[in-house]
Amino acid sequence: MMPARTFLSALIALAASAASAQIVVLKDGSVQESSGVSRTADRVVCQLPATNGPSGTVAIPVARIDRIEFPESSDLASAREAHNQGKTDLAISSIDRVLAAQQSFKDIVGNQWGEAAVLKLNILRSAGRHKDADPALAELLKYTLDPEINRAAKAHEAVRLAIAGQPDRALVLFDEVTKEATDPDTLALIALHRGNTFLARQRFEDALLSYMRLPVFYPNQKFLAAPALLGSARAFIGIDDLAGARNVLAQLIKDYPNLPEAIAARAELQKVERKLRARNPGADNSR
Amino acid sequence: MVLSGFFAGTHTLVAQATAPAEGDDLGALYRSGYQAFDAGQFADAAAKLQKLVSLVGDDAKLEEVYYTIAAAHFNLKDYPKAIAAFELFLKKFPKAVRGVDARFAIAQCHLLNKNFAEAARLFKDLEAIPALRDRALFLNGSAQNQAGNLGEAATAFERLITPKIATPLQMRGAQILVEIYSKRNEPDKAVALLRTIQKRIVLAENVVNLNSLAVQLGDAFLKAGRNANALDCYRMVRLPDQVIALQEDRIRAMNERIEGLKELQRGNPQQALANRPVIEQIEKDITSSTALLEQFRKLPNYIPAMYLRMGQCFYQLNRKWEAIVLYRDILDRWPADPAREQAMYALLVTYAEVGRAETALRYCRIFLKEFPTSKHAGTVGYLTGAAALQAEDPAAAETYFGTMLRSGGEGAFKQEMQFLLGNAQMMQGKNEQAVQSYKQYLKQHPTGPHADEAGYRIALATMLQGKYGEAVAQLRSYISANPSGTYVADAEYRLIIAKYAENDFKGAIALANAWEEKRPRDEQLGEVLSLKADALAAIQQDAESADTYARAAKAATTDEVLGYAIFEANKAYQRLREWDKVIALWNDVLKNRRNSPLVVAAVYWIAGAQSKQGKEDEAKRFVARTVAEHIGDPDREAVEQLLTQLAQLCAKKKRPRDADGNFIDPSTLPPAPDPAVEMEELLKPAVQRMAALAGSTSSAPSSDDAALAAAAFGGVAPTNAPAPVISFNENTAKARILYAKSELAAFKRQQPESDRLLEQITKEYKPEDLSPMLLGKLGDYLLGRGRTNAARAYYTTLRTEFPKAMVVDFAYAGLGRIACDSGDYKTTLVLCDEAAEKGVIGLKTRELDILRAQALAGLQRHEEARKAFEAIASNKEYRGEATALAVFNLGEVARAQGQVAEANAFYQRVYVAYRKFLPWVAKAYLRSGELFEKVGDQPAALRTYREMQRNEKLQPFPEYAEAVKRADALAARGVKAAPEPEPAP
Repeated sequence: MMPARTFLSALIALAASAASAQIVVLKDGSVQESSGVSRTADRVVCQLPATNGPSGTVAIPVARIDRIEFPESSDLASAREAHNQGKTDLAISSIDRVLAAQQSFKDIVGNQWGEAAVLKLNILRSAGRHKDADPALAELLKYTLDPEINRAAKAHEAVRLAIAGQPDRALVLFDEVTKEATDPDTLALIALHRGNTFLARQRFEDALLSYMRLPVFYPNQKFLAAPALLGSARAFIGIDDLAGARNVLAQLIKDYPNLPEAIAARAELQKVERKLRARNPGADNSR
Repeated sequence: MVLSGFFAGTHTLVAQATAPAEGDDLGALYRSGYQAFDAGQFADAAAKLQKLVSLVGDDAKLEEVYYTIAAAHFNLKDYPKAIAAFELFLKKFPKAVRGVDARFAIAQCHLLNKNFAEAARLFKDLEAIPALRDRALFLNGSAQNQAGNLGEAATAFERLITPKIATPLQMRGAQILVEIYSKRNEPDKAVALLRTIQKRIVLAENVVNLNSLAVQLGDAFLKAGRNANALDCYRMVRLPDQVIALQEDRIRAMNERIEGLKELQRGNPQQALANRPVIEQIEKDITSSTALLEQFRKLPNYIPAMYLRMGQCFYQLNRKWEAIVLYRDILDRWPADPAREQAMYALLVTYAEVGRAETALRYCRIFLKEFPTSKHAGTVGYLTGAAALQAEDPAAAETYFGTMLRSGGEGAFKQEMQFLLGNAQMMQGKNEQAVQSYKQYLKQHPTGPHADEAGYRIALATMLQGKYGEAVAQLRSYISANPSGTYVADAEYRLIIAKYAENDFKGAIALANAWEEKRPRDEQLGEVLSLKADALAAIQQDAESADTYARAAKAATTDEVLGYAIFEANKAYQRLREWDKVIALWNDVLKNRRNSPLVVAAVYWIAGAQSKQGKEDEAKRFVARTVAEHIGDPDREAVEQLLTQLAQLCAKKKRPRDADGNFIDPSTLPPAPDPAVEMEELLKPAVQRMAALAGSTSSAPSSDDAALAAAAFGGVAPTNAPAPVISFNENTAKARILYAKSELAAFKRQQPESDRLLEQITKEYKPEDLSPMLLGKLGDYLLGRGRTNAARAYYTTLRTEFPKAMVVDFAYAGLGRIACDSGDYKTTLVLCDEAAEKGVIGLKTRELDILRAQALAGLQRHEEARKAFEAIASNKEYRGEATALAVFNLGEVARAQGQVAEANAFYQRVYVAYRKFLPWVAKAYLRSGELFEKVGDQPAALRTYREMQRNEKLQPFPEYAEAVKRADALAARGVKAAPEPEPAP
């Protein structure tokens, strides 16, 4: 299912792609195209494009601005790319550039700060850098301009609670956010960490069903797929479905051979094979 | 009409043209014609303007009039006339500004007149005109599509949306192209384009239709069995709320566009005139979009039904857990949706198929409660019982099948349920009821699919009731009624059992011979031969019995039969000292059962037999080669057994013999090699293998592996056995080498060195690297040194990672001992019960029995404890310290129950009858003295303490010091020791 936010992003991308510039939409419906924007205390200063009449700047009071349509950020795209390739540091440095550039527009609709901040949290979490994630989360939780970003922040707060050993509170918050969220990034994150939380509590079937939401609904969330597969395998082991665990582990090793999860998967696979052999000693359990 | 607005606007331009000046009549006719056109009276307009043309004659100034006549025919949908009129216009005014429009209109007329080929040809010509390119491509594609020329249509639309979808018209073309791809069986292209469309959804005029397209495409793929493609499409379907939001957004945008246009034309009548058709078109679009939206709002939620289809896709892709996610979502998120019944049915079936019998059972119950009259109720009733059987709950299965059968009806599963009812009853040992159920089945369905088996099971259930005579008659009756029945072979096997049970061993042998003659290659032959061997053994035909067990082992098709037969044969041959036959017996395992866990045991017994034959060196080399093969595989539990055997063989001081087998005086020979050096040499192949395979995990054998394996099997390269899977853990191998050295040191009575080597293993390797036996041994080693936490880690790894290991009893006994010693009797009992439930037996069985008894005593369950200790004390196999411990504890139980005399009798029995077991003797003396004190017999108490003090061996025990203290206190009080009791006559 496509969420509303993707649609909005598409709108922004379309509007910006025409001139690769920022479009400042005023509350009266008029627009100001700009080749660059900067911020003073209560105004946005627009650099007028040279081809669009006389060059120079115009300062627009923030109170008059409905939204700013920023072009698709190449740094955001690079960060996503680097993240998908497992290059965490590179992804973070790209994200930090976006955050710095967008910091002064945080209070204006259309800014990319929230999206970048959520992406940074996703990257830190998937790299296991939970301590680094906490300050970023604290800042994001204060951001209420975009409800979907706010839901993503709450989802990360639930993840933090789960990691901090408060699984019950985490599960309540996961459920709460799931009811409202539409962004696949947020929903996929919840599916993974809800699964992890259930797994830690040895609620294996619940864990498995949560992990399975990723391949069912969010198959494009590649960077969450490997931990979800590993979690699924452990849940399969928990419900004593060793054949299921073996299939999932083999898939993980095949699809993500260079990720840390694949190393863990190899060790798990050995144990599973051993158990299968012990269970059926006469049979050739190799595939 | 595809482009109605196009011609609706024609007259506005025409109205601005210069009116003919030849007279008022012509002028009036002209104005009247255009007024009629403006009023939508196209027939009237065409007639008047045609009259005007005929009156005026061939005048170039009437260019627009000719055009308007054609437009009027177009609007009248009289396409042949419109084509003729536009062609006349083009002929008369070849250089007219509106010539291009006329050509476009002619192409449109052909399209609307379903003359697709001509329309396509004309539109193709118009593609070259930039202003018309997109519309021409769109209509060319539409014409080709309607003509069924899907390839040409696809080409036109592909050109339309290349390089990207940037306009609403291109978006419409893209949507049609998706359908064309689907029809052309190009799913990948269809899905990819649909995905692109989703990204450009801002250009879609109608999100509702786009959503429908994704559903329809998904359905088409599902129908065609393209489940993965179907899922791709379904995932692009938006939730109703999202569609409504997007469609409202479209309508809002269209309204804003009208407002914008009106703003632009304010004070500009010419602009207003030009905008009018555009605004009219947008208003029409708003009206249709609003109507569509309202219609959409009234539609039932389509997501549950779509989830059902997605679930079906996953199910068919054999991804059943994913299907479960979807079915459960339907039940949880839309509990009142009509799809609930189907979803719950699909869910319970899928749960049953993934082996979650208990969950399936739960949903079966809910289903039958919620949908008792469902068309699936019969099936679910059957599944309820079947799931209960699967969940190993035959009692519940019996209840469900019974209830469903009593409720009547002629469901498709009635027969099946009647039969399974009997099975459920048999599983519970209700053999009498089972017989009735099967008989009922045969009565109702004499030719049913299970008739054969039901007849056989009746006899079997009768036999299980101990009614051998009746059972034999039934079996014979079954055999004669079903001479080629599936169960005849088993029935005849049961007849042999009956003979054996009647102690008619010769009869059993005769029947077994007849059985084998009929079915010399039957897979049950191993069982039959095994039974025949038992009968032969019963009549002391030992040699023949041993050979028959060996044949049974060779013919065995299950591990159970193989294990029983081969070990019986082995025992018998050992008794008969038939060492060559022992070797042949186990060599067969090496050659033909290479993946069997018995392989290493085979080597053990072969080496043992070789040693018995005086071929110690050969035996050692043979063992060492096998160790080399399996040293890195932690699952090969018997490797440690072989290492111990190797150490034992190396440590053994053999008496040298000459070539004829005569003993030689050792002093005449060079000194024997140092056992440690010899073992080091023998283990070299293992070390080499370690180096060769270091770092590998589990893989199919390479050609080198195969060569090594062949070497390990005594150079015999098996031909027809499957290649073994090599599992290698370098750390396991290294730890085992140390273990071998430790064992050798122990055999050489160098206990400190043996302990040092074990200690080295604990320091250098983690529990997860070790084999079951090493885990057990090291756990015991650590526990013996009071390192409880470290020991617990080894035992826990053994229990969780090797639950089926032969030596898993080490884990239960070790963990039980730790729990018991810390006073956690509940956990001790749980561990003992778990071990018993899993049928864990082995070296630690005695320890587990003791732990269980101690835990019961600790939990003050005195009677159970007493029985448990009595069982230990009376078990001849436990004779020794376990007996002393049990007798002492019987005293403890009696003491706890206030039975002083009985307790004292037990204590006295310990220090009289089991003097060897000093810890228990020390405890017993002290307890006995204490009891005498308690009952006021101070002299007897003092005598007991003094007697204890005379045994110097007891001095190291804490009880000794306590006894001295108590004796001194009694003496200080002037108590005299009672005289020694008279020895019993």
